[in-house]
Amino acid sequence: MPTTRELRDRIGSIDNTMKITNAMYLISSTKMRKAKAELAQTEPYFYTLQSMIARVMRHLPEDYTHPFLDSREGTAEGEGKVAIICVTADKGLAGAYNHNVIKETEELLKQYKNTRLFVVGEMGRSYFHTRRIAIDETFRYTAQNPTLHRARVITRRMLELFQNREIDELHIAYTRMKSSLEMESLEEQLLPLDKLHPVFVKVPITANYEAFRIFPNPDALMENIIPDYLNGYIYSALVESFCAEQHARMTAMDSANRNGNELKQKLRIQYNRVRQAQITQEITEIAAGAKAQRAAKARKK
Amino acid sequence: MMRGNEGLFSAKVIATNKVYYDDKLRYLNVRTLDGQIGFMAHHAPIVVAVEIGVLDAQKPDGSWVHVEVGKGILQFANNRLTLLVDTLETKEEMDIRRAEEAKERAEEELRQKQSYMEYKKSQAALARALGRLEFYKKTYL
Repeated sequence: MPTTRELRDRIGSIDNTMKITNAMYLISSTKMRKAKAELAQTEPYFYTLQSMIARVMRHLPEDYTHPFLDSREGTAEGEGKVAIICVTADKGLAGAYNHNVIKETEELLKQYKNTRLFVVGEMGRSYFHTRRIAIDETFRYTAQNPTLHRARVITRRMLELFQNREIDELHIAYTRMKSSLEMESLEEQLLPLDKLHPVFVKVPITANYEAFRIFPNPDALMENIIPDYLNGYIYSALVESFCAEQHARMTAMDSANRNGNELKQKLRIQYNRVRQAQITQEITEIAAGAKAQRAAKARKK
Repeated sequence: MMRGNEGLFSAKVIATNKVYYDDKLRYLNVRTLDGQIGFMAHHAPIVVAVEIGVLDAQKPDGSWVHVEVGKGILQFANNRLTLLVDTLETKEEMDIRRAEEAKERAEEELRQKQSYMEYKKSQAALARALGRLEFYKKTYL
């Protein structure tokens, strides 16, 4: 049986931990709200861009080729250099969030022979570091408060690598909010955008569409919109991941709070029992002592 | 067609962080790689690559709006215009000191030896700053 002092100390320490988990819960809920508002602001742009790209693709000449759209030679046989952006959190204590996205990345790493890993967030970096998996050390971005500027810097870097043929493919592994309660980690190929290529985009024959003039020319158009598309994608991936991270932390902290409360209640009951037992014991001792004294006095007389 | 709606087209101007305009317009003018291009109602279907520059638009009541836009893409079809740009700034939002500093910084950088990527970056920054300054100094009647 633990003493009351021990129990009191344990309850105190649970109280202290709960102060932290509670604060973390509140912080992540406000952060998530902010990130969601930001995402909602960019959504119209991104969705319109997607539908516009799909439309432009339908109007491109049949034999149109562009470096951003065509897969390079050898990539199908797994020969090409594949870059992977992995979006993790800066901190742990977010349930299985980091673990899931890292697992997704590891599957990608297994799929390709020649890979280059770019990691956003400190958790992923330290994970791959301890496992001695090479990551790009100059690619240091935090997962906190994603901005368009950060997405632009990442996009520019990736496009440069792609154009210099240092990489032949670009994938991104991130976490998306499937609904407001559920999230999933997933992987998407960003470069080359061969799934957007006119060859792969099937146009329903019934679709009645007018001929578009493309001004000044398809190449200039592609140069303008593909980087934007990429940038939009990377930005929304960063924001979605940040949202998901905060959400995961919120749920983790919420269950920590609940467990803490449960534990505290159990300990408090135990504490009360021990205290009660002690009091009872003291009373019995006093009563017994008094009785013995009385008996002794009576014998003296 | 209803009277009063004649000579108008629907327009949507969207920047990365906001929807700037979503209503009817009488006229819209943007800069492209090959010069200015203007749109009026029932323009032929077209897709245009938009360059950094000033966007002029005339609202149905005849008043004009002028904003500075970044690179983007414009599509006109079925009397609907959709313009997507990465940045959009009105005169009120513009920070002229920042633009001037950016211009000086870019010029300074361009004078130094740089890698190709750095050169392109400074060049783009300079183009943005010059576009802003030009827009700011312009007075509209």
